Amino acid sequence: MKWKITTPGLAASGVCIALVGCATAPPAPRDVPVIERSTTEQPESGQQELPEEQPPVPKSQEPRAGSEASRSQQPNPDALAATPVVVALLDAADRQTQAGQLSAAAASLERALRIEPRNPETWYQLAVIRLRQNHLDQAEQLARKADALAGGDHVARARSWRLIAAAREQAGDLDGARTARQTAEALQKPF
Amino acid sequence: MTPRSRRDPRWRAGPTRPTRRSPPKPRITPKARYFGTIVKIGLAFTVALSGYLIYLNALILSKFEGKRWALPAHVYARPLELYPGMRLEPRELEDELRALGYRFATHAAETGQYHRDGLSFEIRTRGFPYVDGTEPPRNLRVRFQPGRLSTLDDLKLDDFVGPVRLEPMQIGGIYPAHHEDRVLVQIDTVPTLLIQALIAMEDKEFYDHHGISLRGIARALWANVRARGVVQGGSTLTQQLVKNYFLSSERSLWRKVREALMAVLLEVHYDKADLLEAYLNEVHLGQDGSRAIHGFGLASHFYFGQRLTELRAPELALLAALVRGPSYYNPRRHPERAQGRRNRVLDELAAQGVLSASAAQHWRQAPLGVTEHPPGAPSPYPAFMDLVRRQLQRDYREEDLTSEGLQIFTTLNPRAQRIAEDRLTQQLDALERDRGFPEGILEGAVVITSTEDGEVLAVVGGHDTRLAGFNRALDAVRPIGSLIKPAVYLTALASGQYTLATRLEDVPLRVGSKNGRVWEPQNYDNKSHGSVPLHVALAQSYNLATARLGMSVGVPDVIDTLHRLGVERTVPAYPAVLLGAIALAPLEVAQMYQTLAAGGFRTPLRAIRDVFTADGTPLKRYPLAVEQVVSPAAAFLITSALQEVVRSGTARGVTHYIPKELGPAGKTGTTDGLRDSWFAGFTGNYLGVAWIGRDDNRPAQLTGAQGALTVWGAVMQTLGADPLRPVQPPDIQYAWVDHQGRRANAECVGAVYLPFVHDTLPTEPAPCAAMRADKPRDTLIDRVRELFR
Repeated sequence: MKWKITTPGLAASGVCIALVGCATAPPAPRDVPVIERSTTEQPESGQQELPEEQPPVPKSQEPRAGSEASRSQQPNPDALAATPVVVALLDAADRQTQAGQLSAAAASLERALRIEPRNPETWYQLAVIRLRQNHLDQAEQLARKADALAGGDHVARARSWRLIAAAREQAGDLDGARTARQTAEALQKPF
Repeated sequence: MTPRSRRDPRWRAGPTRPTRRSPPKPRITPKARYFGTIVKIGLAFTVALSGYLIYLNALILSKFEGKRWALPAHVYARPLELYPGMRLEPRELEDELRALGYRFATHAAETGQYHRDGLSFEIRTRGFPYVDGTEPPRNLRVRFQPGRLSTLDDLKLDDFVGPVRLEPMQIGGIYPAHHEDRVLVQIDTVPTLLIQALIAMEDKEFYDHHGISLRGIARALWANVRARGVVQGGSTLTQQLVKNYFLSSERSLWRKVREALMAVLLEVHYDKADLLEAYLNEVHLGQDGSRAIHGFGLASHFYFGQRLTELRAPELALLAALVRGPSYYNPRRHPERAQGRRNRVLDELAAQGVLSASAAQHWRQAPLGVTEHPPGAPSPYPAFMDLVRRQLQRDYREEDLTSEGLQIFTTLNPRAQRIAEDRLTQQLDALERDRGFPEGILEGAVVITSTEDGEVLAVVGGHDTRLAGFNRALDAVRPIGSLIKPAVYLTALASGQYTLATRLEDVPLRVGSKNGRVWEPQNYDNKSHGSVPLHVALAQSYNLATARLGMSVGVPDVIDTLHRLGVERTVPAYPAVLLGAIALAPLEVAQMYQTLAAGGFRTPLRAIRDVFTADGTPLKRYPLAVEQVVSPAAAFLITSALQEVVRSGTARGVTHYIPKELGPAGKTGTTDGLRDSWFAGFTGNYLGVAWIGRDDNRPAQLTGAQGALTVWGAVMQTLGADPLRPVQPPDIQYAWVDHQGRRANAECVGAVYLPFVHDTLPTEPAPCAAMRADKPRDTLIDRVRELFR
């Protein structure tokens, strides 16, 4: 099957943008990265099947660094205070993407990374832009970065690996694409 | 004037004249012949004159039409982003505003003004067109809590969170050989008062004459006769424009005639507004060393640090006054003269009815208002500019950089730069006093970058930070000593054959090479420490253990790791490399450690974000690019080990500057005979490399910890360190191990809590834990212990 990116997909990802970095937000179904060349609107079927909640963190797993509170009792004021700003920039990037201003969108995302450099969502969105710009190698590398920063968030990680699969497929690396997709699927299996 | 036209050989050689034809044979009466000769001479003269006029016409038209002044590239720092929660002191915001030419006002009512009341600011921002959208002018209210910006409001809008960018400050330019600099202005944005002042002072009949003004000449003559000297010139603005086009020191009647002819020709072709605009951009208004200040756009910036549109009457009057003699009336050097001339301009404006008498009287008392030092050039940050220039030269020709008016937006963070300069200078001075060195003998360099995106925030190239000379941050290529060790240990950890708990033998070794030489490294303390855990060998920077480890994993593999980390230089494959017998510049070291700081993703260090054309069209972006070169697990392990170097190893001194709870990571480096003192390290937000040594390569008598570490620590302390908490990869698991690397638990005395790649967890139980069930999952008490360990 082919993975395709659609604008609706991106718009929907804007929804999860709003949730990013906000530890208290309830987990929402994150959409697939969703990649599309054809104009036919892909019904979001299948994506509904995604696990509604994050897979439980395996027992042996350290809570990931995102949950700072478990390490130091006071919340990190930086992360909490800066979040709305980064959300505003992610929103701006989303609007620019939809208006076809990909390079402006990338600039907005880089701006967001200067403020909050380890936000996996921002790195992922930058990967999406590079994929649309057909910078396939950077798309994969940025998605890997998003993956590395996602820690134990399997939904986010799976999404990055699907993007990697799409980038490899477009580059003609079908074996690589298959491997990446398998990685994504393995991540989505409930434990 | 462009360099091209100045060098134009036709112009140098003078006008070419048609050769006169020899007169035909006489055949008629002498009288008629005489008459005929006159006619012919007249004709020939007419032909010559029209030829000359045609030539002049072409010359002045090409000059004017070209209108392509050679515009130097202007280089800007990063814009200051403002957003709630950011780390910023009110004083730093005020410094930035002043550097951008914002003026303090009791009520910030106009663009370019600000008001500060303790922890609260009101700012009328100017706005700026950025690549991702235009930042509109705003009426901002900024409030602070200690150490942080707490709220940001746009008083015109509700529901506003930011972020907001101020304009970027200019930090330098790239000038052509003749060093003409200007900032173009358009006539409809030039304050009317300036134009009125120019016309009042220089050319009252400007709108009525055709290039030359007989009345003006007569009046000037009369004034000069009355004053028994030259007090007025009779040149119209058009003539002055021509004169500025072909600046020459020649003072002759012939030149005057030529200028007058060209002035008339210009007036035939162009309307007054075009001529005035050209004049406003062309006229010479000052000198800054070898850099010539042309046009009112730049003059406004040069004298007042402000945009032309923001100047008030007395400042505009001063600029108009400078036309007559920018060096004679130089307001920085001759303030009384300048003030006298300015007040004459104000009087004249009052006489013309442009200003009311009372306003003129009021402004006469105003101070000149010029800044103490001209901003911008020569750059206050020569070492950073040097880096920018080198990065630009990969993509642009020198002549484009100096003539196309490119706008270069860099990553320089003036705050980080200032801190790095101050701290390096202070520490070097203190170390010199301490070691009894003569002043200025110790040199140093600092590079600061942001950890994840590889932007170069500050570059200091030497003890004298303003000196544009040898740039040690880029060009002092020195042996890096122990700074190489993370590459050796990373090679081992990434191979899967080693863990942080693997025991290494810190005992003497001899390595023979093909050419018969023997390498026999020593520990810094000349002792051997026997069997030690890998993480301890790195933390204590043991040479023997490192050399043995390097030999086991293989020198070529270590060199491969160096290249992955971003070292581009060829590294010879001999064993001494394992202990840092390779020479790198501080910037190259920064690239290498950047990859570690970014979790194994290499990001080419960037000093430039965007390049715009003169009219503000984006020309080139230098986007953020990453490449994963180390697995997240291996990167996590090496970072954890480098944190231990600070927590309990050779870089413990860092904790005098940064609380160890923030987990900074770093490595010291010292070379033979204490010649080079290095430190490279990173926090959650910044990466820094510091080097101290001597230009003559004699001993600096400093270890890495005694010298460079103190610079690094002081810089990071002032910058403000975020905690370094790398995201833990899913295949990493923590476990307690005893000194022998056996599986222990929190109750075992001397046990340490270390990260392992999942499938390399030690299985053999430590004696103290043998009786208990294995405890893979840590408890809260473990964590608390870990904190206080």
